Amino acid sequence: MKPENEQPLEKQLNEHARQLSDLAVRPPFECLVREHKTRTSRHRKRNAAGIAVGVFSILACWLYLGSANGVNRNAAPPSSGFAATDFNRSQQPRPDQASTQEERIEQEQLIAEIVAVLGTDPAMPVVPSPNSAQPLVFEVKYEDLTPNEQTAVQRLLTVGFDQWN
Amino acid sequence: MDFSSEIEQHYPGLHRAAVLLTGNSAEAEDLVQETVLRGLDAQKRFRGSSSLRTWLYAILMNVHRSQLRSHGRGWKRVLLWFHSAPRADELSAEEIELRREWHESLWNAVAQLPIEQQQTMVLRFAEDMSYDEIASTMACPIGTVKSRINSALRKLNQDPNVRDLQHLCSVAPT
Repeated sequence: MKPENEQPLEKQLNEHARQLSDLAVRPPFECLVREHKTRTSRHRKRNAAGIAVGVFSILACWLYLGSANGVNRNAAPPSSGFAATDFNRSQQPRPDQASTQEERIEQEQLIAEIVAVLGTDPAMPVVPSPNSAQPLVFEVKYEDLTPNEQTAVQRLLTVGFDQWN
Repeated sequence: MDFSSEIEQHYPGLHRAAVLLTGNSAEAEDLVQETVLRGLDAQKRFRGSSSLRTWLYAILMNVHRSQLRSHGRGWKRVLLWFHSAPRADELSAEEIELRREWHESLWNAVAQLPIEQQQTMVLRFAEDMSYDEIASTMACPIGTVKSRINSALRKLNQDPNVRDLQHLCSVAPT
């Protein structure tokens, strides 16, 4: 049985809520709106910074990978190495890429040296083996050559051995 | 009337609910501020399928739940205590009074209930929401709302501290 002076719980909850609400100090709503503007502006700046960092990272990766492919000649060779006479010409630098006269002269000297080493038969470039009567096929991995040598070999194959001899 | 002015109309109610849920001004301010900021941010997503009032209270309850969840994690709780617990002499007189009143009120007992029941009780008995509105705010069926309220009231009625409180309140001069 309830005491006579006991109020229903629901009513007391409502009353306590009102009392507590009166006690609590409420900051002005304008402060919240101002904070919202500050936060929005901060988010925009952060987003812009994020995009800039992302673009910069992509560019840096692209440049790094590009330079690693083009310049790093110490990288592991591909599994299918190929002979000097067996590469795809369309993927190699064209002979007229030698930009300066000095480079062209240097390439011609290199070509002359290669011809001297390989002999005059482009189909069977051989060097005499010191230990065997059988000729050894002289295999050159294209990746192992310097850019100048690569261009020189390219020119040599384009022009043909005969014209150089 | 622009959106922030519409939200401002519900600001006192949101603040009251936040105070009842947290029991102190600092956390209540954080809670209501986050609610209003999220409301302003999500202005474009408000489709008007529910009333602005229930939508804002739904945000408030979600923020409250996630704050409790993040505060409840062990080491974070300790860190938070070190960072946020103000010394007694740092509290204003109003804040001390509010905390004391809250601890002595029925809402302290309500805060011991499971969070869904606590939130439902706040919406029902502090904000005077209908069962429909509470169901829309809490995204649950009306039957669940009724069951939560019944269960909460039953627990409160069985709580000896609440009985003492009721007795004290009823004999205290108004």
